[in-house]
Amino acid sequence: MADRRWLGLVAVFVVTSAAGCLYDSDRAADLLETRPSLSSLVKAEVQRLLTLYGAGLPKEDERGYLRSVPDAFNDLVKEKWVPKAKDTGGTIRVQTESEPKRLNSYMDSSAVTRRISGYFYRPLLRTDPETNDLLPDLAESWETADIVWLRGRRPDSVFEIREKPEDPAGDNDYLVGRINPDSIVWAARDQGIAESLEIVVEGQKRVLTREQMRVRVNQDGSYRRMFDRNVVFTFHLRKDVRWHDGKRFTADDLIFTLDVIKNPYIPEQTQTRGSYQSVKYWEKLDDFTVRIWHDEQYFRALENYSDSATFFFVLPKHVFMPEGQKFTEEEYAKYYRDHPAHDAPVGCGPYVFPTEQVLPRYNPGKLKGWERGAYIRLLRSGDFYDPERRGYLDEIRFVFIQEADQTLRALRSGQIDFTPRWLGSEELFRKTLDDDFKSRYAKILFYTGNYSYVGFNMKKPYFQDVRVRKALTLLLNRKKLLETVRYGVGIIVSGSQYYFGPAYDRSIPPWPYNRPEAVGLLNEAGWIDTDGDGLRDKDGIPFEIEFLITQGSTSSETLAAMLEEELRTLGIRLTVRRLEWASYLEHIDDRKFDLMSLAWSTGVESDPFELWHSSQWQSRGQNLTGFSDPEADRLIGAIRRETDPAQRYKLQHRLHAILYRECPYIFLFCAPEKGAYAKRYRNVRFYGKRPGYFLEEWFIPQGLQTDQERKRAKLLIEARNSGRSAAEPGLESPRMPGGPRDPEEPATPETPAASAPQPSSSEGGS
Amino acid sequence: MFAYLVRRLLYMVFTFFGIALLSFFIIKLSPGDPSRQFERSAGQIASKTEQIASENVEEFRRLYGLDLPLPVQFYRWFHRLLTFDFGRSIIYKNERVSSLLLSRLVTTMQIQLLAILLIYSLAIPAGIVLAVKENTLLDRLLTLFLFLLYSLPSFFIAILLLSFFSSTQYFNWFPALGMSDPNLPASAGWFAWFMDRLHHLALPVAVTAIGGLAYLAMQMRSNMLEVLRQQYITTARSKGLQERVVILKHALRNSLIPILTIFASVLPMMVGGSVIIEFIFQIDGMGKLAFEAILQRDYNVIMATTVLSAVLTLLGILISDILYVIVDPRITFD
Repeated sequence: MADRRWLGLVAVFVVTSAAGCLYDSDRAADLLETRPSLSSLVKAEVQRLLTLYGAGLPKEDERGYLRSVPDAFNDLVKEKWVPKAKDTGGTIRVQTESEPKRLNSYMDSSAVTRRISGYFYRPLLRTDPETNDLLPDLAESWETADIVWLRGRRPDSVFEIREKPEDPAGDNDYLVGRINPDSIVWAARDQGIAESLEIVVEGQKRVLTREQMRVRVNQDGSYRRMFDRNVVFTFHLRKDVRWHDGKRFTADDLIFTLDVIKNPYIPEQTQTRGSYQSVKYWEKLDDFTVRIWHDEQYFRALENYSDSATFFFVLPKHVFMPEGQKFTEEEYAKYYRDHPAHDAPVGCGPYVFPTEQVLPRYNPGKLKGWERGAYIRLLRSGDFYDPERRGYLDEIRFVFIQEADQTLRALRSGQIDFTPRWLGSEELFRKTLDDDFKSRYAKILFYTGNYSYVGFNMKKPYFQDVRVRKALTLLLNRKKLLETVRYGVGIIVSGSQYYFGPAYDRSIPPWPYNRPEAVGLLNEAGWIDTDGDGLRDKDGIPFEIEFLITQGSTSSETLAAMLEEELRTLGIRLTVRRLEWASYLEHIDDRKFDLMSLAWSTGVESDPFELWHSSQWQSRGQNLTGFSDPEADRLIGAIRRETDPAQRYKLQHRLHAILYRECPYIFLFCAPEKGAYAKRYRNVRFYGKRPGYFLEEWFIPQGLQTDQERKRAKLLIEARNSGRSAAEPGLESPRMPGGPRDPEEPATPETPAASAPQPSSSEGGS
Repeated sequence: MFAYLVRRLLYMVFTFFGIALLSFFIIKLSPGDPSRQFERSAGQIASKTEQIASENVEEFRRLYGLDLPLPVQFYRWFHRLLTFDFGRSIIYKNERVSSLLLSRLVTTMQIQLLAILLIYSLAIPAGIVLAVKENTLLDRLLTLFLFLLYSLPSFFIAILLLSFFSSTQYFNWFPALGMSDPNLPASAGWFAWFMDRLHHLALPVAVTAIGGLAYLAMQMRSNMLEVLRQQYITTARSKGLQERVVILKHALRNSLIPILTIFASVLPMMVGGSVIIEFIFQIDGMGKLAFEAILQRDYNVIMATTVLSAVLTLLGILISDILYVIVDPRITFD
């Protein structure tokens, strides 16, 4: 019996190691030295991708923005590809890191939900992914106006009377127009008091004096002012938009959307509601014009109606509001929270979520839209109102895969076509060196706004002194850390904005690794070993700190080990404490840490208030380190108020310089997104703005489509054309005068997207 | 018999209450609180005025009853439990826990049922063969092989199978993840559906079955050996019965008794699913649900899954006891 057990053990060992070697054949080959060493192959691969990314980053344009290059990572593409009408068709299966809880990003503000719903729900404005300029979407044009706050009362005020100590009781008067900025004569600028100013109201120039105006203080108390610029928005909506069930899009939908956003009885929407706090009144001027009143100047106020920052989108009123029923806000919240359309949305975007309600021509195959736990599928509508953005791919399928190694397996088994950012360094640089993978997929690497950091608790005695914080920054060899944990791929940053964005001052280099200077700073700050116990101390407090990291994070472990070693030799004891994610965040929220490490993801430009304003420490906001600097507070107030981008970027650069000097964080790296896509896709571009890609730009040259895909594309076009000509039950007769024919509806679809595909040509591949 | 059953059921009620009480407090007292996570997400982008944010956190806590003292929370929860109301999920945006559980249960049971079918249909014949051919080369090799299977961790087997059988590098025979082919038209018949399902579930079922298969086959082998040594087998043989009849008719029945009772303990496993396998193959079953709920402190879901497996374990034990009486006349409750 005994010999058998022994035999078994040997067998297990042999079989597992053989299998392991086969599984990790790269490493086995490395061990046996049968080919150039793995590490040199990895290095070459890293270099190759960085070069491709560099090639994808051409010169900046005249305004200093980076312009993306299509197909930079695809070696099959030799020349620029322009999509033609016949190239519509095909499917893309996109790896998505989690499943949306509901397909309404007001109710579920996760990035995934926003990303998916952007293909069927549309905002009023959209932003250019490279310049962040605002462009028309559901709103074809818009105007902004300024408000001057006046003393006295008016009965028809659109602003609720909010009792404030500064407001004389009941003052609610105001004047709307355009302020002439050069005409402002300041009495006390930092008090927000102007002597006089000039405002144009409906073509009439008027001069207001200090006596007529009143001073208001903004919500967070950071500034006082007598007027607010760019706070009243008038949106002129497109008249040719239809929801996917055939109903018309009108101003009522927008008004309803704002009603829902501002409804205080929907706790899931707290985050959304927070972004529209300054919205005080919204009115329908006519069927396609809406005016929205804010009562506080904010640089993001207009952007907040776009697909940027908080993804704003218009909800279909006729879907969410039963006809002829009256609700109080509280009753409606109850009805709305359980509404089935959160799981089966009816949108108006270039892609359709297939449900029972949408027009049959959009989904002739009666495909299922959402398979729980597996995927969400969207179909191209083909008649989106903006012909430039109708998209080419017939179907986008978002496949839910959580982990990097599962994503890699799904690529290998051919179950997905694209993973935007879900491969780790290991997967991208080491596990995919084989020809099989490289011939099928283009690996990608691009930077979006994000950075990791080590945060000091500045309320602790050790870190009150900027010299100590700077010393620790100088002691962390970030270059070496980057080499160790990320194959050296990443950018060491010195501030909190997106590295390639306009608000980051790239002329400020990160602090170098400099031990002697760090020692000098520590001594200077008074942290000296006075009692000879080998630990530095000051005022009787020994320099013993705890570094909080998350359990199971190898990069945090490496970071902690490096820092621990550096500090130990200098007489500072660093202990590492590992916590599971939920309680880790709770400790940080409660400010129960000395040192911790986290990462933020940011937009192209981010609002510094949450992270750096001193009020955000007390209020348990995101100022986790307790950073408090009067100059920074003033700058943040000014940044938030400045609606002129060029001026604001200058202020952002000044704030950057303060953060660099004060070292509230040890800023670590901006890490690239790492992914891969199948090589048959063309016009593939990556942007710094999240999510970093627009699938409506991508296409598959007809020659590279499968027979099935070509057949399907043809079927869809037929269904669309016959659906248009046949009287569709879902299509209501227009409410506008002029008989049964809809004036906006073209008689025959004459769009490039809807024209029939020509026979396949040899243009398909190269 | 009847009196015994009543007594057993009464014990079960108390045991169940104890389990519920303990797990409720353990989970509630562990650090991490969903309303804190809610607060964090609410504060992330734009809470300009913190009182609004905290009002909403209060609202959130009130909504899910998190503001009440723990004993009251327990009372309310247990009270609802008796009417099979598990409340609503926090992470799954207000979905009813019962419907959430039901949909996940269907998924998990598909895998587990197939796996159990596979285990029993392979393990019993294998056990018989091994017992009959005791101490031959076949017995030794097969035993060794089963021992090997039993000792390999399932995640390792899963990754090996995936690397070799669902990758274009080697054999791309099976899908690496998912339960069904999204392109399968709705009009496809049940047979196409079933084959598609089998194709997708082949690897997860194989991995799920491997451990149990080895264990059960070894069990079967030793049971059979024991029965074969009984005197009535010798009697049967000496009557001149064919060996086949001796084994399959006389020995098999008795050797199946322990196997039958093991079946009852399979009940909780069937519902619990496997976290690891569901994770690797991206299958939304009970194991994954429970795991995610624990990570995100979704109390209602955690408690529902705990209660469910507690009830099933208790039931499983009861059923196995009853089965004993039924299949083996020598055992009585009196």
